[in-house]
Amino acid sequence: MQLLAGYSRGQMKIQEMAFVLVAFIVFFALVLLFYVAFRGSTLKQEAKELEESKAMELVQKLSSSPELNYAGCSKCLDFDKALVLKNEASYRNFWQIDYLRIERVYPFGNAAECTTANYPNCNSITIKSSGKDFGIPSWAFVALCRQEFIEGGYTKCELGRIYASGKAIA
Amino acid sequence: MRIRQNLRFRKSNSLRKKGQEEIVGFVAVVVLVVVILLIVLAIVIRRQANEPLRDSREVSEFLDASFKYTSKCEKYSQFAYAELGELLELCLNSQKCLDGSNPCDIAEESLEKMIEASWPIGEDRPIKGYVLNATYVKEGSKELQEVLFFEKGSCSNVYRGAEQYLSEDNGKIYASLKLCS
Repeated sequence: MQLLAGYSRGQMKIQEMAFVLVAFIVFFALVLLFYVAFRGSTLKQEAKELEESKAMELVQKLSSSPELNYAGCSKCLDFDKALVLKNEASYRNFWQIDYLRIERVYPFGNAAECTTANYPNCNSITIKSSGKDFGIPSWAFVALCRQEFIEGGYTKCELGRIYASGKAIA
Repeated sequence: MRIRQNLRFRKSNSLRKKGQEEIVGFVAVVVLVVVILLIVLAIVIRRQANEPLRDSREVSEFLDASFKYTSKCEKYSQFAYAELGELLELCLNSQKCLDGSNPCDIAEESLEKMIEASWPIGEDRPIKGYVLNATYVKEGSKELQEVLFFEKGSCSNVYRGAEQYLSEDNGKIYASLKLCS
């Protein structure tokens, strides 16, 4: 009888310990889940911020380079220069990037790639596009400026986007 | 015999009581931990909800680039077209374009078209609407003067936005764009 009582007390203790262990595991699993979810959201935010700063650096770098900058205007791209650069083979590897494209957002005109034949009635200039996979390009809004020769000649700026991708940016 | 039975009963009773106390203690600890977790969760969620509008790089660049857009409004002479930023200044000073058109209307129309060309906006899109607000603040004064205000679509929740300013005589024009989801 005493032996049986001893057994059941021992079983009770083992059961209690098992319950506590299970509770601990559940508790730590919850804490871990909470931490992973929280860390995941901050990581996403950090990745987005990093991407944004990369794009910002890229635009500042490209738009301030004399090869693309419109004289007398910071953060303005010269659409005329971009067309010249597109046709200049010696500039293909100048920025060491895989992809560089400038696109007009507004006013959206003829949705065609610019050539010397259709310029400025076109919408985009792809300065460089290497055949290899360059991933999703970083982009930024820019002012696209060019010299308009009609109506006495004046500087015309429009809204555009610049897209770039490559090791130099990644 | 009776004494022995009584002793055994007391012993089992005290064991049961001890077990109950342990269970109560365990439940109390679990409840305490859950309450602490809930409080932490509520604080985190509230902090995220109350977070001030994060300055969106995209919107900020958009405003910056759009201020340089060459409009169809001639300022003082033929072919001297005003940039969008200058249109806001003309609008603030209640001036007219050379052909008599209202710079405020041209600015509003241009900005509206630029926003809609940049982000697809609609009920079935991630961006349901937007609010553009341009206000003039005189230097040394806290008084705000509305230059331009327009909105489109529903704007219950601000998705992203930014503010840019233009230096004007004796003050600044602050233009903010909020995209809503």
